[in-house]
Amino acid sequence: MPDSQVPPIWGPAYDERDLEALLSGETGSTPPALQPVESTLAALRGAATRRELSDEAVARAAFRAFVPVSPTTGPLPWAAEAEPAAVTSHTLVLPPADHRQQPAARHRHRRRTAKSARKPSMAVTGAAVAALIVVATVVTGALTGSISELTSFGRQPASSSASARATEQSPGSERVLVTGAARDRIPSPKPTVSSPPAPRPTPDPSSLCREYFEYFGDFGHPAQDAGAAWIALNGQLSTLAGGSEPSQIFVYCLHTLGYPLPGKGGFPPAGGPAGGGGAPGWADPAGGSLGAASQGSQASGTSDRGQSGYPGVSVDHP
Amino acid sequence: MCVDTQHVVGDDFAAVLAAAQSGSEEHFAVLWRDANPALVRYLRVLVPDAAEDIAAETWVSVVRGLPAFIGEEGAWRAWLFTTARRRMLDQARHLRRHPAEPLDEIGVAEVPTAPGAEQLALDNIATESAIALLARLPEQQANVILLRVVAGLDTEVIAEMLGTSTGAVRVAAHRGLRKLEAMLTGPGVTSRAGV
Repeated sequence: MPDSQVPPIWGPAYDERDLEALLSGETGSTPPALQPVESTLAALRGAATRRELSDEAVARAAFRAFVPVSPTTGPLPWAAEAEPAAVTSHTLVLPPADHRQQPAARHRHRRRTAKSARKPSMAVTGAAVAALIVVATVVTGALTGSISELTSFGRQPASSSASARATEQSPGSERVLVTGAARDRIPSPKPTVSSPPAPRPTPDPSSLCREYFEYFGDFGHPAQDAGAAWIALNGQLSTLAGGSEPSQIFVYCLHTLGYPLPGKGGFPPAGGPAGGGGAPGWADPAGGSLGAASQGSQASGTSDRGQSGYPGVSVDHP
Repeated sequence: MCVDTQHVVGDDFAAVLAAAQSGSEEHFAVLWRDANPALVRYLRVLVPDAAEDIAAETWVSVVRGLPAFIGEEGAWRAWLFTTARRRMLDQARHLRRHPAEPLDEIGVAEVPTAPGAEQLALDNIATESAIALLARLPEQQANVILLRVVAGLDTEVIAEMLGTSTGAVRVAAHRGLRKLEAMLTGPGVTSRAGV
């Protein structure tokens, strides 16, 4: 075997520490075998070339486009000295994108703010309108429904509405009366409704009206044999009210039981207390305004002062 | 013109970074001049055809995140090279999806040349030779050596960047250096790096 092919019995001329020193940039104790490598790494660490610094203008333009420029910070003196003239002369000046976008952003923000500021007021208004509609529907719907039912009841005493029939339960228990849009719990009918009609020796307007309202409250559920009593009561009240129209009787009874109705005259003087609670916000079926509550009226729904037998109307019993 | 970019910022890094973050273009230029040559060299070894483009994309990404950056100079360099590496991977992914078709052969006389290109090549022949040598190494070894030597990052930071262990980073670097030494001292190889 020739000597040139004999493998060296000694190890490499450098070890791991020498390699680490090369990577760390430590010079001075580099083994001769690694000196070419050291030169290569030194060239990699060498000074920047013109080519590597030629894109500074692009980087500055990107900086101006994306970073908000601060007017207070000025250039570094040593940085300005180090800056090549060729680079500054070719500095790109891009239009500041954020300046163009600012008005639109502000506009959007303002629009959003205006919308959000308008929302609560719109919500309040909507809620108020909805509440008014509900109240008006409850009062006037119940009222007109009652009046129409009353009218039909007067003509056909033994009949009752389908909805009322559907909710009819046994006497003595609490029932749900559905009249138009209103659903209110009412007391169960009194046993006197089903009693046979008795002669009325002394027709007292107040008691007649109270009885009328008791019928009125239970108009949808009269017993089959209560029609004759209702007709008799209706006839008496027609005489007192000066007309057989249900609205006339109704308004008369309201007046008699202590509901002074402004603008409504022609009734006999009633014995009820003046300035009692009114029924606000409902329409006069006869054409007059009942909604303008008198002085001292309270906006109340179902009364806690007395039993009127009619949902939404409170009655102060004299 | 040759400007030593290895110690442009140094101890003033925190102040320069803060000024750049608050909008000073001149301070940002200092950061750029400090890091861009190393970045371009790193990219020229790994993606020679798109090094400048990826470097520009890297700086755009860095500029966008600059106001939120917190850290010292080592972290800044690690962030910069990590961003470059991500852009590099994006580029490779894009090329895989949209493979480029070669254009017709262009004659040497038709290749556009910038004025002074020859002079530039002569000025930086050592750096160019070193980059060419590194480009012949396996990618992982070249990557590790460049991140150690050019970017100046620690083994731990490189391991975190590459998602590997410090031991693997060290082994890859040492193997790369040995291979480099073999290339430089082998028969028929003439190194111009030390010229």
